[in-house]
Amino acid sequence: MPAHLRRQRGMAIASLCAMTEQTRLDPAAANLWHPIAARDDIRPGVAEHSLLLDERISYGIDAAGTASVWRSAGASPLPCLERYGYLWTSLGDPPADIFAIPEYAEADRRRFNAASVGVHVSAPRAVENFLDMSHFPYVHTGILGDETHTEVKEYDVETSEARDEILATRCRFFQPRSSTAADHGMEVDYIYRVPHPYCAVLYKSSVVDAARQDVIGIFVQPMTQERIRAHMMICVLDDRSTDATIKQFQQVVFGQDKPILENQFPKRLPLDPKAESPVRADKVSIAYRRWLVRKGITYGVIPAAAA
Amino acid sequence: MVLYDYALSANCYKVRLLLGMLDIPHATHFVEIFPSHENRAAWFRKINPLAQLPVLDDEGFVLRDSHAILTYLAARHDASQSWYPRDNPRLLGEIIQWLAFAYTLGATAGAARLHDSLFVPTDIEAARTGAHRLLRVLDEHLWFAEQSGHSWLCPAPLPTIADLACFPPIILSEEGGISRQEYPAVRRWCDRVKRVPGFVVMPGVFPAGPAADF
Amino acid sequence: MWYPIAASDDLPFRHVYHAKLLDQELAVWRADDGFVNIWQNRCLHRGVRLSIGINDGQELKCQYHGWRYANRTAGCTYIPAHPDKAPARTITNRIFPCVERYGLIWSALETPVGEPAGGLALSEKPLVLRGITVRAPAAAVSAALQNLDAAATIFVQPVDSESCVIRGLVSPVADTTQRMEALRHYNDLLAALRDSVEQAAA
Repeated sequence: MPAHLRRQRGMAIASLCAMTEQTRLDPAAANLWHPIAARDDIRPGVAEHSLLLDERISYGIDAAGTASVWRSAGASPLPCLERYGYLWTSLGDPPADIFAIPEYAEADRRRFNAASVGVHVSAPRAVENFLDMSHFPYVHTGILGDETHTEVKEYDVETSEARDEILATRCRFFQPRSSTAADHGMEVDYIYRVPHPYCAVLYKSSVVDAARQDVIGIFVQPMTQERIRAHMMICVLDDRSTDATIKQFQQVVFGQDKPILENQFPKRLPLDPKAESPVRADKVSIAYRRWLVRKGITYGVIPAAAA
Repeated sequence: MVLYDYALSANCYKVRLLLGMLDIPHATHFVEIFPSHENRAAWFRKINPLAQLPVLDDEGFVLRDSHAILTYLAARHDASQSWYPRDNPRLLGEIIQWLAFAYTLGATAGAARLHDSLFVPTDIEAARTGAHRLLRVLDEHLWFAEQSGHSWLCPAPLPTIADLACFPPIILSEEGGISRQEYPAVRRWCDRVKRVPGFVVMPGVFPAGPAADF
Repeated sequence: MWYPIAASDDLPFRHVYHAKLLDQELAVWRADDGFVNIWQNRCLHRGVRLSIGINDGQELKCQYHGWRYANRTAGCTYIPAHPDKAPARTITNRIFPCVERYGLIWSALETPVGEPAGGLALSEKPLVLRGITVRAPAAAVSAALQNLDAAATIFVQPVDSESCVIRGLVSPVADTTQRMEALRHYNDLLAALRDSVEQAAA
């Protein structure tokens, strides 16, 4: 059970009230924290540049190790937070903090950014792909699935107003090689969590310690509505593989998803339930699309048709 | 034999393809280019001062550059002598011609892919325009090759290292925003390369369907 | 209206051809029984292009989740995530009309009237020229073709507002060498036209 559920901590709900100065930008998206870089990728004393919600931004770390973010045009400062090895910023009024991942504080975990990869697709499409198991036998053949075990068994989905997140539990899938620590095929238990419109976290049974879980996150930086930089957070238990081996595994898996994402149309996620044909295995993605509607997200999606 | 390799490298993939098709046993020494740039570390610069992958170490014989490695492996390990037919000067000339073409594919389509995927700076418009210019030339070449009853870049009954040098940057072109929809002959050639026995995929490449005789 | 979208030779064994007509992307594939399928290039599940899918001779399999669609009917026959359930009949791809004639594959976005190249006296088995993509609107290319002095029947396939494909037919040539010469001759002629139209459009 992910630790954050046991904590009796209220989660700040993203403020959807006052419009920011960027009134043309979807306020639901603007008022969130967004990941923009892995801290380790930032060269001290060098200003780096990127794109967030169509806005040019710059960021850097000074000699004292303090990070800052600002709009590239005009250099006005932007809020800046460091969490889970990433720099996060916001173009609006973000919540007091980012969603919690208590496992990240556990000292015996391997914690790093596997890669920050550009993809020609919208953030919600990338999140939905991360939540999907049915593609494992076809896209991640021999690793996360194989064609002898394609059935997706019934699982549970909860959309929690109180925690402001979606949780899919009781997910399980046969995996020939579920992680760098695994050396044989096995059925793996998964929990999927969506604590942010453009971020998802998965918890999968650890090979090293059956009582604990490997935690892998996809934190998507929406550069434009149809282009992203996906940051992949690794927070796993593995006492034998090098960092490079673990990163390679994740890079291979994500590299396999890339051509699928880049061949999906429309690039923005259609929120109209009649636009595409989900099946029972897509229960969590159905909940995700409904959740985006309720949150009023319009960036990176095709809104549902007016009634 | 040791291949210094990185899973997402198109140039390393050229060598992995031939190693698979020639079924050459080898070990892999993984070098992480992204995000840590391990290729720039002092230990690797001793092996390749240009800090690039792939590098082949065949029992102490060290060779850099994917095309040089393809040539060496084909000359040394290909019993059929079809991948690099040393006794056919015209074919050799044509192979080298297409290896040069493969370099320009790397400088255009390859650069676009690195820019879009891994944010390596480049003039992205020039890279994409350059890639389309090359693909246009290749599509016409392959169409006429098909009309003459040929299936590969060079007019030989079997593929050569020219096909392996050009395939990775082309099959990964969409990652740089370069669609192959306008190049039907190139798309058919890609299917044929995928069906060569010993073909291996890499992240970003799908295997072909059930084997067919083209 | 009927437009040529591919040559018959563009559909070799177990290939999936990626076509585009008037902004509509199409997945075109020939089954082992010879039937040519022209479908909207989008898996109904989550919108992945069917042109990157697998033609196994009887069905087209989507690369994402392995959904399979039948030759001729375009109906989904198998959803691997639920292997024991028959897919709903409503999961059927949008089919576009198809006629294979004069060595070309013809299609239309709505119900076409008449026959492909209706009214033209054409050899049933002409020599099919290489299809040449021009990055200019079809109207500009058609206008330029008016001035072309060639014994060829030329069709212009509008791909989208900015590009088209020139597809030409000439009389069949029996001799192999002369056939190649004819193909090269017309290719060079049309490529030159393409280059001048593209320069003018730039």
